[in-house]
Amino acid sequence: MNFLELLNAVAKLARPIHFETVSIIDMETKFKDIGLDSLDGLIMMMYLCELYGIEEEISKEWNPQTPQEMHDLLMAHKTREPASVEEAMKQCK
Amino acid sequence: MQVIYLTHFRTASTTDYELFDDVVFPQKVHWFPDTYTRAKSGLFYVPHRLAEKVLDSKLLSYLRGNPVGKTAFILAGGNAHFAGIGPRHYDNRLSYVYKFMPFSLTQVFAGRTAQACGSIDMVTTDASACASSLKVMMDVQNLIRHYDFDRVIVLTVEDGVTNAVLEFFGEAKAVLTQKQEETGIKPSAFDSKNFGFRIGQGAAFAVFESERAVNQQDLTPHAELLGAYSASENSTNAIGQRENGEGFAKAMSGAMHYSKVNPEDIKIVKTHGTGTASNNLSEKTALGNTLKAFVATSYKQKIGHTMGSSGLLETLLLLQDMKNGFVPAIENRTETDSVYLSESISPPEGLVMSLAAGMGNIYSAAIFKGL
Repeated sequence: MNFLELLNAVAKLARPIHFETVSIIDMETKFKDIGLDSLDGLIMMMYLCELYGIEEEISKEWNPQTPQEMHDLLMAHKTREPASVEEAMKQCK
Repeated sequence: MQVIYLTHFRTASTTDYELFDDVVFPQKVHWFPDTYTRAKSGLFYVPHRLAEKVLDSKLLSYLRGNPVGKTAFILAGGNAHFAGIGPRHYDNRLSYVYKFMPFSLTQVFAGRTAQACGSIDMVTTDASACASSLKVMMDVQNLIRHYDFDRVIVLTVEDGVTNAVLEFFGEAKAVLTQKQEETGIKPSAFDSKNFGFRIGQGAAFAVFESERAVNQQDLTPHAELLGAYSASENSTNAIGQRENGEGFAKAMSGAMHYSKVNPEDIKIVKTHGTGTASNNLSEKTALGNTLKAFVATSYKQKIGHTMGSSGLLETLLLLQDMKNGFVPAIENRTETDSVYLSESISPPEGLVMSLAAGMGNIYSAAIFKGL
Protein backbone atom coordinates (compact mmCIF):
# COMPACT_ATOMS: atom_id res chain seq x y z
CA MET A 1 0.00 0.00 0.00
CA ASN A 2 1.23 3.47 -0.89
CA PHE A 3 1.73 5.30 2.43
CA LEU A 4 1.52 8.76 0.83
CA GLU A 5 -1.78 7.85 -0.75
CA LEU A 6 -3.08 6.76 2.66
CA LEU A 7 -1.74 9.91 4.29
CA ASN A 8 -3.50 12.14 1.74
CA ALA A 9 -6.78 10.30 2.27
CA VAL A 10 -6.48 10.62 6.05
CA ALA A 11 -5.55 14.32 5.77
CA LYS A 12 -8.66 14.94 3.69
CA LEU A 13 -10.77 13.25 6.33
CA ALA A 14 -9.13 15.03 9.23
CA ARG A 15 -9.35 18.58 7.95
CA PRO A 16 -12.60 20.56 8.10
CA ILE A 17 -14.28 20.40 4.69
CA HIS A 18 -14.24 24.17 4.31
CA PHE A 19 -10.44 24.20 4.46
CA GLU A 20 -8.47 24.03 1.26
CA THR A 21 -7.25 20.54 0.36
CA VAL A 22 -3.56 19.91 0.96
CA SER A 23 -1.40 17.63 -1.07
CA ILE A 24 1.33 15.55 0.58
CA ILE A 25 3.69 14.80 -2.27
CA ASP A 26 6.83 13.41 -0.64
CA MET A 27 8.06 11.80 2.57
CA GLU A 28 10.41 14.59 3.65
CA THR A 29 8.49 17.88 3.42
CA LYS A 30 7.43 19.09 6.85
CA PHE A 31 3.69 18.99 7.56
CA LYS A 32 3.65 22.65 8.54
CA ASP A 33 5.15 23.62 5.17
CA ILE A 34 2.24 22.06 3.30
CA GLY A 35 -0.41 23.78 5.39
CA LEU A 36 -1.19 21.12 8.00
CA ASP A 37 -1.35 22.58 11.49
CA SER A 38 -0.76 20.83 14.81
CA LEU A 39 -4.46 19.98 15.28
CA ASP A 40 -4.60 18.45 11.80
CA GLY A 41 -1.52 16.42 12.74
CA LEU A 42 -3.09 15.23 15.97
CA ILE A 43 -6.30 14.03 14.43
CA MET A 44 -4.43 12.37 11.56
CA MET A 45 -2.32 10.54 14.10
CA MET A 46 -5.43 9.31 15.88
CA TYR A 47 -6.81 7.85 12.68
CA LEU A 48 -3.53 6.24 11.78
CA CYS A 49 -3.11 4.71 15.24
CA GLU A 50 -6.58 3.21 14.94
CA LEU A 51 -5.72 1.78 11.51
CA TYR A 52 -2.39 0.35 12.69
CA GLY A 53 -3.70 -0.92 16.03
CA ILE A 54 -1.59 1.33 18.24
CA GLU A 55 -2.73 2.39 21.72
CA GLU A 56 -3.32 6.13 22.14
CA GLU A 57 -1.22 6.02 25.32
CA ILE A 58 1.81 5.07 23.22
CA SER A 59 1.24 7.59 20.44
CA LYS A 60 0.40 10.64 22.48
CA GLU A 61 4.05 11.40 23.13
CA TRP A 62 4.92 11.34 19.42
CA ASN A 63 5.54 14.51 17.49
CA PRO A 64 6.39 13.57 13.91
CA GLN A 65 7.28 16.51 11.68
CA THR A 66 7.36 14.72 8.32
CA PRO A 67 5.56 11.82 6.61
CA GLN A 68 8.74 9.76 6.95
CA GLU A 69 8.91 10.29 10.71
CA MET A 70 5.24 9.39 11.01
CA HIS A 71 5.74 6.28 8.90
CA ASP A 72 8.70 5.12 10.98
CA LEU A 73 6.83 5.48 14.26
CA LEU A 74 3.81 3.62 12.93
CA MET A 75 5.93 0.79 11.55
CA ALA A 76 7.80 0.41 14.84
CA HIS A 77 4.64 0.03 16.92
CA LYS A 78 2.00 -1.41 14.60
CA THR A 79 -0.03 -4.46 15.63
CA ARG A 80 -1.95 -4.63 12.34
CA GLU A 81 -1.99 -2.92 8.97
CA PRO A 82 -4.78 -1.92 6.58
CA ALA A 83 -4.75 -3.93 3.34
CA SER A 84 -5.55 -0.95 1.12
CA VAL A 85 -6.42 2.73 1.20
CA GLU A 86 -10.02 1.84 0.34
CA GLU A 87 -10.24 -0.56 3.27
CA ALA A 88 -8.67 2.01 5.59
CA MET A 89 -11.17 4.66 4.58
CA LYS A 90 -14.03 2.23 5.11
CA GLN A 91 -12.69 1.53 8.59
CA CYS A 92 -12.44 5.24 9.40
CA LYS A 93 -16.02 5.82 8.37
CA MET B 1 -22.82 56.98 13.04
CA GLN B 2 -21.35 54.10 11.01
CA VAL B 3 -24.04 52.23 9.07
CA ILE B 4 -23.94 48.41 9.47
CA TYR B 5 -25.00 46.14 6.64
CA LEU B 6 -25.73 42.45 6.41
CA THR B 7 -23.82 41.57 3.24
CA HIS B 8 -23.75 37.76 3.05
CA PHE B 9 -25.52 34.93 4.81
CA ARG B 10 -26.10 31.19 4.72
CA THR B 11 -28.54 29.18 6.82
CA ALA B 12 -29.11 25.52 7.67
CA SER B 13 -32.31 24.28 9.23
CA THR B 14 -34.81 21.59 8.42
CA THR B 15 -38.56 21.14 8.51
CA ASP B 16 -37.99 17.36 8.51
CA TYR B 17 -38.42 15.68 11.85
CA GLU B 18 -38.08 12.26 13.36
CA LEU B 19 -39.35 10.59 16.50
CA PHE B 20 -36.71 9.71 19.07
CA ASP B 21 -38.27 7.04 21.23
CA ASP B 22 -35.08 5.75 22.85
CA VAL B 23 -34.67 8.69 25.21
CA VAL B 24 -36.30 9.19 28.61
CA PHE B 25 -38.84 11.63 27.20
CA PRO B 26 -39.70 10.40 23.68
CA GLN B 27 -40.10 13.37 21.35
CA LYS B 28 -39.91 14.45 17.73
CA VAL B 29 -36.85 16.45 16.69
CA HIS B 30 -35.79 18.38 13.61
CA TRP B 31 -32.35 17.14 12.64
CA PHE B 32 -29.84 16.27 9.93
CA PRO B 33 -28.97 12.57 10.46
CA ASP B 34 -25.78 12.99 8.39
CA THR B 35 -24.29 15.20 11.11
CA TYR B 36 -23.88 12.03 13.15
CA THR B 37 -21.85 10.29 10.44
CA ARG B 38 -18.70 8.88 12.04
CA ALA B 39 -19.57 10.53 15.37
CA LYS B 40 -19.14 7.23 17.18
CA SER B 41 -15.49 7.16 16.13
CA GLY B 42 -15.02 10.01 18.60
CA LEU B 43 -13.02 11.88 15.97
CA PHE B 44 -15.84 14.01 14.61
CA TYR B 45 -17.78 16.51 16.63
CA VAL B 46 -21.41 16.82 15.56
CA PRO B 47 -21.66 20.63 15.85
CA HIS B 48 -18.73 20.89 13.45
CA ARG B 49 -20.62 18.79 10.89
CA LEU B 50 -23.58 21.09 11.38
CA ALA B 51 -21.40 24.19 10.94
CA GLU B 52 -20.03 22.80 7.69
CA LYS B 53 -23.53 23.14 6.23
CA VAL B 54 -23.19 26.94 6.30
CA LEU B 55 -19.44 27.26 5.74
CA ASP B 56 -19.68 27.79 2.01
CA SER B 57 -16.23 27.35 0.45
CA LYS B 58 -16.92 29.92 -2.28
CA LEU B 59 -18.01 32.56 0.22
CA LEU B 60 -15.01 31.85 2.47
CA SER B 61 -12.76 32.14 -0.55
CA TYR B 62 -14.39 35.49 -1.41
CA LEU B 63 -13.81 36.78 2.13
CA ARG B 64 -10.17 35.69 2.06
CA GLY B 65 -9.67 37.33 -1.32
CA ASN B 66 -11.38 40.59 -0.42
CA PRO B 67 -9.97 41.82 2.86
CA VAL B 68 -11.36 45.03 4.31
CA GLY B 69 -10.19 46.90 7.44
CA LYS B 70 -10.25 45.20 10.81
CA THR B 71 -12.16 41.91 10.84
CA ALA B 72 -13.65 40.02 13.75
CA PHE B 73 -14.98 36.46 13.95
CA ILE B 74 -17.63 35.53 16.50
CA LEU B 75 -18.81 32.01 17.19
CA ALA B 76 -22.18 32.14 18.92
CA GLY B 77 -22.34 28.69 20.42
CA GLY B 78 -25.34 29.06 22.69
CA ASN B 79 -25.34 26.36 25.34
CA ALA B 80 -22.44 24.55 23.67
CA HIS B 81 -20.45 24.27 26.85
CA PHE B 82 -22.71 21.53 28.08
CA ALA B 83 -24.50 20.27 24.97
CA GLY B 84 -22.94 17.24 23.37
CA ILE B 85 -21.50 15.84 26.55
CA GLY B 86 -24.35 13.43 26.99
CA PRO B 87 -25.44 11.39 29.98
CA ARG B 88 -23.38 8.22 30.09
CA HIS B 89 -26.34 5.90 30.68
CA TYR B 90 -27.42 6.10 27.03
CA ASP B 91 -26.25 3.84 24.27
CA ASN B 92 -28.19 5.07 21.27
CA ARG B 93 -27.49 6.73 17.95
CA LEU B 94 -26.76 10.02 19.70
CA SER B 95 -24.07 8.53 21.96
CA TYR B 96 -20.45 9.31 21.29
CA VAL B 97 -17.33 10.04 23.27
CA TYR B 98 -14.65 12.41 22.05
CA LYS B 99 -11.22 10.95 21.59
CA PHE B 100 -9.64 14.38 21.70
CA MET B 101 -11.44 16.80 23.99
CA PRO B 102 -9.87 20.11 22.85
CA PHE B 103 -11.74 19.87 19.54
CA SER B 104 -14.99 20.18 21.44
CA LEU B 105 -13.98 23.52 22.95
CA THR B 106 -15.82 26.34 21.24
CA GLN B 107 -12.87 28.71 21.22
CA VAL B 108 -10.61 26.11 19.58
CA PHE B 109 -13.21 25.53 16.89
CA ALA B 110 -13.70 29.29 16.49
CA GLY B 111 -9.98 29.91 16.09
CA ARG B 112 -9.69 27.12 13.56
CA THR B 113 -12.71 28.23 11.55
CA ALA B 114 -11.71 31.90 11.63
CA GLN B 115 -8.54 30.98 9.73
CA ALA B 116 -10.71 29.90 6.81
CA CYS B 117 -12.18 33.43 6.61
CA GLY B 118 -8.85 35.17 5.99
CA SER B 119 -6.93 37.60 8.12
CA ILE B 120 -8.70 38.07 11.45
CA ASP B 121 -8.05 40.74 14.08
CA MET B 122 -10.22 39.25 16.81
CA VAL B 123 -11.77 35.86 17.47
CA THR B 124 -14.33 35.39 20.21
CA THR B 125 -17.11 33.07 21.34
CA ASP B 126 -20.42 33.60 23.06
CA ALA B 127 -22.38 31.27 25.32
CA SER B 128 -25.48 33.32 26.11
CA ALA B 129 -27.67 30.22 25.91
CA CYS B 130 -30.58 30.44 23.46
CA ALA B 131 -30.15 34.21 23.08
CA SER B 132 -26.55 33.79 21.93
CA SER B 133 -26.75 34.56 18.22
CA LEU B 134 -28.99 37.59 18.71
CA LYS B 135 -27.00 38.79 21.72
CA VAL B 136 -23.90 39.00 19.53
CA MET B 137 -25.68 41.59 17.34
CA MET B 138 -24.85 43.97 20.20
CA ASP B 139 -21.20 42.94 19.79
CA VAL B 140 -21.40 43.49 16.03
CA GLN B 141 -22.81 46.96 16.66
CA ASN B 142 -20.09 47.78 19.20
CA LEU B 143 -17.21 46.51 17.10
CA ILE B 144 -18.23 48.39 13.97
CA ARG B 145 -19.50 51.59 15.58
CA HIS B 146 -17.03 51.99 18.44
CA TYR B 147 -13.95 49.96 17.60
CA ASP B 148 -13.55 50.70 13.88
CA PHE B 149 -14.03 47.14 12.67
CA ASP B 150 -15.16 46.92 9.06
CA ARG B 151 -16.24 43.31 8.94
CA VAL B 152 -17.70 41.10 11.65
CA ILE B 153 -18.33 37.48 10.71
CA VAL B 154 -20.82 35.58 12.83
CA LEU B 155 -21.07 31.82 12.83
CA THR B 156 -23.77 30.40 15.02
CA VAL B 157 -24.16 26.70 15.53
CA GLU B 158 -25.61 24.51 18.20
CA ASP B 159 -26.57 20.88 18.21
CA GLY B 160 -29.52 20.62 20.55
CA VAL B 161 -30.23 17.08 19.39
CA THR B 162 -28.21 15.41 22.10
CA ASN B 163 -29.16 12.99 24.83
CA ALA B 164 -28.40 15.66 27.43
CA VAL B 165 -30.62 18.32 25.90
CA LEU B 166 -33.52 16.01 25.04
CA GLU B 167 -33.53 14.71 28.59
CA PHE B 168 -33.06 18.10 30.24
CA PHE B 169 -35.79 19.86 28.27
CA GLY B 170 -38.09 16.86 28.62
CA GLU B 171 -37.66 16.88 32.36
CA ALA B 172 -38.14 20.65 32.50
CA LYS B 173 -41.42 20.14 30.57
CA ALA B 174 -40.22 22.71 28.04
CA VAL B 175 -40.41 20.57 24.89
CA LEU B 176 -43.47 19.00 23.37
CA THR B 177 -43.19 15.30 24.11
CA GLN B 178 -44.55 12.52 21.96
CA LYS B 179 -47.08 11.77 24.69
CA GLN B 180 -48.46 15.30 24.34
CA GLU B 181 -48.43 15.14 20.54
CA GLU B 182 -50.48 11.92 20.71
CA THR B 183 -53.24 13.88 22.43
CA GLY B 184 -53.45 16.14 19.36
CA ILE B 185 -51.31 19.03 20.57
CA LYS B 186 -49.17 20.62 17.86
CA PRO B 187 -46.27 23.04 18.22
CA SER B 188 -47.45 26.64 18.21
CA ALA B 189 -47.09 29.92 20.07
CA PHE B 190 -49.48 32.52 21.50
CA ASP B 191 -52.35 30.07 21.00
CA SER B 192 -54.97 28.89 23.48
CA LYS B 193 -54.88 25.22 22.37
CA ASN B 194 -51.55 24.38 20.75
CA PHE B 195 -48.23 25.11 22.40
CA GLY B 196 -44.60 24.21 22.79
CA PHE B 197 -41.69 23.35 20.54
CA ARG B 198 -39.50 20.53 19.36
CA ILE B 199 -35.72 20.63 19.53
CA GLY B 200 -33.96 21.30 16.23
CA GLN B 201 -30.50 21.46 14.74
CA GLY B 202 -29.56 24.71 13.04
CA ALA B 203 -26.69 26.94 12.01
CA ALA B 204 -26.17 30.29 10.34
CA PHE B 205 -23.25 32.23 8.90
CA ALA B 206 -23.61 35.98 8.46
CA VAL B 207 -21.26 38.76 7.47
CA PHE B 208 -21.85 42.29 8.74
CA GLU B 209 -19.86 45.12 7.22
CA SER B 210 -19.43 48.85 7.61
CA GLU B 211 -20.68 51.23 4.94
CA ARG B 212 -17.11 51.94 3.86
CA ALA B 213 -16.44 48.21 3.41
CA VAL B 214 -19.62 47.83 1.38
CA ASN B 215 -18.62 50.76 -0.84
CA GLN B 216 -15.08 49.44 -1.19
CA GLN B 217 -16.41 46.12 -2.53
CA ASP B 218 -19.39 47.60 -4.38
CA LEU B 219 -21.75 45.16 -2.64
CA THR B 220 -25.54 45.10 -2.59
CA PRO B 221 -26.47 44.37 1.05
CA HIS B 222 -29.43 42.28 2.16
CA ALA B 223 -30.36 44.37 5.19
CA GLU B 224 -29.21 47.06 7.57
CA LEU B 225 -28.64 46.34 11.26
CA LEU B 226 -29.89 49.48 12.95
CA GLY B 227 -29.17 48.52 16.52
CA ALA B 228 -29.23 45.82 19.16
CA TYR B 229 -29.39 45.46 22.89
CA SER B 230 -29.35 42.73 25.53
CA ALA B 231 -30.74 42.93 29.02
CA SER B 232 -31.62 40.94 32.12
CA GLU B 233 -34.61 41.27 34.40
CA ASN B 234 -34.86 41.37 38.17
CA SER B 235 -35.49 37.73 38.88
CA THR B 236 -34.25 35.07 41.24
CA ASN B 237 -35.17 32.31 38.82
CA ALA B 238 -32.45 32.04 36.19
CA ILE B 239 -34.43 29.62 34.05
CA GLY B 240 -37.78 31.38 34.22
CA GLN B 241 -39.29 34.50 32.71
CA ARG B 242 -41.16 37.21 34.56
CA GLU B 243 -44.84 37.44 33.68
CA ASN B 244 -44.61 41.21 33.18
CA GLY B 245 -42.07 40.72 30.37
CA GLU B 246 -39.51 42.98 32.01
CA GLY B 247 -36.51 41.38 30.33
CA PHE B 248 -38.00 41.47 26.83
CA ALA B 249 -39.19 45.06 27.35
CA LYS B 250 -35.76 46.24 28.49
CA ALA B 251 -34.10 44.59 25.48
CA MET B 252 -36.65 46.11 23.07
CA SER B 253 -36.34 49.61 24.53
CA GLY B 254 -32.57 49.41 24.47
CA ALA B 255 -32.51 48.28 20.84
CA MET B 256 -34.85 51.12 19.84
CA HIS B 257 -32.71 53.63 21.73
CA TYR B 258 -29.49 52.57 20.03
CA SER B 259 -31.25 52.36 16.65
CA LYS B 260 -32.73 55.84 17.16
CA VAL B 261 -36.19 54.62 16.19
CA ASN B 262 -39.63 54.86 17.80
CA PRO B 263 -42.07 52.08 18.75
CA GLU B 264 -44.35 52.97 15.82
CA ASP B 265 -41.49 52.34 13.35
CA ILE B 266 -41.44 48.62 14.20
CA LYS B 267 -43.95 46.80 12.02
CA ILE B 268 -42.77 43.18 12.03
CA VAL B 269 -41.60 41.17 15.03
CA LYS B 270 -39.81 37.86 14.90
CA THR B 271 -40.66 36.57 18.31
CA HIS B 272 -38.68 34.15 20.43
CA GLY B 273 -41.95 32.24 20.24
CA THR B 274 -41.22 28.99 22.04
CA GLY B 275 -44.92 28.60 22.78
CA THR B 276 -44.42 27.69 26.42
CA ALA B 277 -47.00 29.21 28.78
CA SER B 278 -44.32 31.29 30.43
CA ASN B 279 -42.85 32.67 27.20
CA ASN B 280 -46.29 33.32 25.66
CA LEU B 281 -47.22 35.50 28.61
CA SER B 282 -43.91 37.25 29.09
CA GLU B 283 -43.24 38.07 25.44
CA LYS B 284 -46.82 39.06 24.61
CA THR B 285 -47.04 41.36 27.63
CA ALA B 286 -43.76 43.05 26.75
CA LEU B 287 -44.73 43.51 23.11
CA GLY B 288 -48.14 44.89 24.02
CA ASN B 289 -46.62 47.39 26.44
CA THR B 290 -43.73 48.47 24.24
CA LEU B 291 -44.78 48.56 20.59
CA LYS B 292 -47.73 50.16 18.79
CA ALA B 293 -49.05 48.48 15.62
CA PHE B 294 -47.15 45.39 14.53
CA VAL B 295 -47.47 41.82 13.28
CA ALA B 296 -45.61 38.96 14.93
CA THR B 297 -44.38 35.64 13.64
CA SER B 298 -42.33 32.68 14.89
CA TYR B 299 -40.20 30.03 13.19
CA LYS B 300 -39.73 27.43 15.93
CA GLN B 301 -42.87 25.56 14.91
CA LYS B 302 -41.36 24.96 11.43
CA ILE B 303 -37.75 24.12 12.21
CA GLY B 304 -37.71 23.40 15.92
CA HIS B 305 -35.86 25.34 18.57
CA THR B 306 -32.33 25.60 17.26
CA MET B 307 -31.18 26.88 20.64
CA GLY B 308 -28.27 29.35 20.46
CA SER B 309 -28.60 29.61 16.70
CA SER B 310 -32.28 30.46 16.76
CA GLY B 311 -32.18 34.25 17.14
CA LEU B 312 -30.05 35.03 14.12
CA LEU B 313 -31.05 32.00 12.05
CA GLU B 314 -34.76 32.81 12.32
CA THR B 315 -34.06 36.48 11.54
CA LEU B 316 -32.26 35.50 8.35
CA LEU B 317 -35.14 33.20 7.39
CA LEU B 318 -37.59 36.08 7.93
CA LEU B 319 -35.52 38.48 5.82
CA GLN B 320 -35.46 35.84 3.08
CA ASP B 321 -39.23 35.27 3.34
CA MET B 322 -39.85 39.02 3.20
CA LYS B 323 -37.76 39.22 0.07
CA ASN B 324 -40.00 36.49 -1.32
CA GLY B 325 -43.03 38.62 -0.50
CA PHE B 326 -44.47 37.32 2.73
CA VAL B 327 -44.33 37.23 6.50
CA PRO B 328 -45.20 33.66 7.48
CA ALA B 329 -47.99 32.70 9.85
CA ILE B 330 -47.23 31.08 13.18
CA GLU B 331 -47.96 27.46 12.41
CA ASN B 332 -50.82 25.58 14.07
CA ARG B 333 -52.66 28.63 15.36
CA THR B 334 -56.25 27.61 16.11
CA GLU B 335 -57.62 31.16 16.38
CA THR B 336 -57.86 33.81 13.69
CA ASP B 337 -55.30 36.43 14.62
CA SER B 338 -54.03 39.37 12.59
CA VAL B 339 -51.29 40.32 15.08
CA TYR B 340 -49.78 36.97 16.17
CA LEU B 341 -50.29 35.82 12.62
CA SER B 342 -52.57 32.91 11.92
CA GLU B 343 -52.23 33.54 8.16
CA SER B 344 -49.23 34.66 6.12
CA ILE B 345 -49.35 38.26 4.91
CA SER B 346 -47.47 40.57 2.58
CA PRO B 347 -44.72 42.38 4.50
CA PRO B 348 -45.95 45.73 5.84
CA GLU B 349 -43.67 48.75 5.27
CA GLY B 350 -41.47 49.27 8.30
CA LEU B 351 -38.71 47.87 10.44
CA VAL B 352 -38.15 44.36 11.73
CA MET B 353 -37.48 43.60 15.37
CA SER B 354 -36.04 40.22 16.35
CA LEU B 355 -36.29 38.86 19.85
CA ALA B 356 -34.59 36.03 21.69
CA ALA B 357 -34.38 34.83 25.25
CA GLY B 358 -31.97 32.50 26.97
CA MET B 359 -31.71 30.63 30.22
CA GLY B 360 -29.58 32.44 32.71
CA ASN B 361 -31.83 35.48 32.41
CA ILE B 362 -30.84 37.04 29.12
CA TYR B 363 -33.06 38.84 26.64
CA SER B 364 -31.92 40.21 23.30
CA ALA B 365 -33.45 42.43 20.66
CA ALA B 366 -32.12 43.60 17.31
CA ILE B 367 -33.67 45.91 14.74
CA PHE B 368 -33.18 45.42 11.01
CA LYS B 369 -34.26 47.20 7.87
CA GLY B 370 -34.80 44.88 4.92
CA LEU B 371 -33.25 46.20 1.68
